[in-house]
Amino acid sequence: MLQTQHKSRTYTTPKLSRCGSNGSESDISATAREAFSWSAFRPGNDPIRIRTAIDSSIDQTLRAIDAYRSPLAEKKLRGEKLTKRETNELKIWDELLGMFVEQPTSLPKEAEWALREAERLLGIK
Amino acid sequence: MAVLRLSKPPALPAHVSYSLYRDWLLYNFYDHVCSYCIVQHESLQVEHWEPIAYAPERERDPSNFLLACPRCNRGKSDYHPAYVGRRTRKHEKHGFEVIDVRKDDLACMFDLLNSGELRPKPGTQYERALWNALLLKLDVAFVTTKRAECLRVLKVCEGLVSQGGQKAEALLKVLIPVCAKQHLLFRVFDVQVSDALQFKLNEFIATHRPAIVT
Repeated sequence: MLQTQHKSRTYTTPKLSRCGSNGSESDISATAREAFSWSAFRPGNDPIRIRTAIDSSIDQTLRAIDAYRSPLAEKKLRGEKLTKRETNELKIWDELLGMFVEQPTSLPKEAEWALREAERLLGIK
Repeated sequence: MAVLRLSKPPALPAHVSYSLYRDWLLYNFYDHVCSYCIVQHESLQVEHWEPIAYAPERERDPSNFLLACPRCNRGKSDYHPAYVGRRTRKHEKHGFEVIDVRKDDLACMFDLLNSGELRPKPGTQYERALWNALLLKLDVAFVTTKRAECLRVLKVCEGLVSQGGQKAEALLKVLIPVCAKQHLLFRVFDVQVSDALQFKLNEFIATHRPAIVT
């Protein structure tokens, strides 16, 4: 029976650059800070500072999303055909944007019902 | 021209907060319609067309106010609307002027498709329209879906008005207020509305918003 001399090595988590990582939570946030150029500061208990901290990190996240989304959105707005992959990517960026910003007001339930009823009455699919 | 004319602003004392002009703006923008994406939002902010950072003297000037949803407000940020030096994309040489519903005819800049998508119209304003669509993210999926929904309501109302009958009238009673609240979208983008439906919409608006010039 053929046997190799190979011995499996114990798995170690990959080291993240510039973080001296052991996979802990702080390393992940450090990587996120590095990737999105986030800066951290302690807002303490001051509500205005907390609000500013939230707003500025949302702004930075939106800017980061925008950097990936804009070229695809521009292509679409110019009327160029997007590949299936690009279409899906744009859809995902839009969904992600929807998590950070307020969505438009939805129709009241009564109006939604009336709209469906009217479409049925008029034979609109 | 489908530009928007606002009613006369209320005469408020100089020392009061500019946020008191919100009701006047809400009245003009027909209950929560953002002046940039022309779509209804629950919470709208009083937006300084010329940012306070550039023109502190216009902080309480009603002619400097618009209503913006948090998303559009974030997009425009403190960008001076007439300053074209800022670029939003790496390859750009310069930016463009931000759209203003009070002086720009958006119907000349964009085509509103049935899918709710906005497409910049070919012509002299093409690059500006495209730039604004990207700055304010006028093309984002959930806004496009909302516009499509408004056009769907309009289409259904048109059908009900031409069909007539007791049931159609009952449904119109529910749908006309919804349609009337979005009439700014139809006006701004020159969406064709039949005379019969326009009459019904005007009737509703005249009862609920008599001061608005339609």
